[in-house]
Amino acid sequence: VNAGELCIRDVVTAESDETAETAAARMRARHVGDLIVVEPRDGRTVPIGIVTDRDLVLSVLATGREPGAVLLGQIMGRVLVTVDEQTEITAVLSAMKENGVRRMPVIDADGALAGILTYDDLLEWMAEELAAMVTLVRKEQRLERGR
Amino acid sequence: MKVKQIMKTSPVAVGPEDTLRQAIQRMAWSGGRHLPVTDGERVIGVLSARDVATAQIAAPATVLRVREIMKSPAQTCGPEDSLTEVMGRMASAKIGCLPVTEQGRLVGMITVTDVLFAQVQEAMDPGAETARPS
Repeated sequence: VNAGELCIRDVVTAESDETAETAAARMRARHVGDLIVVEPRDGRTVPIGIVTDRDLVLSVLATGREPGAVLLGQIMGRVLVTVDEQTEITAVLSAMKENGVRRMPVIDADGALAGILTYDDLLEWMAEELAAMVTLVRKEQRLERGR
Repeated sequence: MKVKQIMKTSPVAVGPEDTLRQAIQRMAWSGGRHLPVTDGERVIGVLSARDVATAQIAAPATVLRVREIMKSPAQTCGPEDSLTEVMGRMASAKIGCLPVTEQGRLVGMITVTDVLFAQVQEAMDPGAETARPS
């Protein structure tokens, strides 16, 4: 299984000149905890950063800054770790652990934003895989007993 | 594997009557994205970074209290619960973190991150002792 198969394609995005206030409203409306900051490049939508709900709490609220005056470009994580669609899920997990991130934009062969993978998605997939494995083992055990 | 093997002990908590300002300071100090809300030793809710950011920025109010925006009642798990079972619950309910309680008393917290990496580690190296996350 690779990143392209598991990622969520409907990514909620923002641009770096939008404010923290706008970002919080979008997170609330779309029920997400992060926004991928993008910019247009040669007709492609390229991810350049990420802003999380925790960034808003720590970089805006905890410091007493005015949310309507803080631009996402000022608070977003500058080093964005991405994976391409062909990356195996085990490699995605390793990259997440290595970089200490819990969300990763997925890019296509041209570097354009193709989706996003989060811990929650990976956990859901893993839970389903485990459940399927348990069902298979139980079926085999029943067959063994029947022989 | 059991919850107690990977849970974070001594979690930082907030009270329902604390202000969001106090909660923000505790969240910054805790290093996490979730805070259990306790009334005495009893867990009555969970406050997430998203709850705080969207309530205080997207819909600002003069003085908000934790009880006004926390998710309550809180889903919890026990230290002896199986990690596989807890993982299924977190995945199906899309929960980012669960307070761990023992006879109603808060004893730890467990997050999606903790569960995911413990399961991966166990799958890759079933015999290894799982280190408690820092």
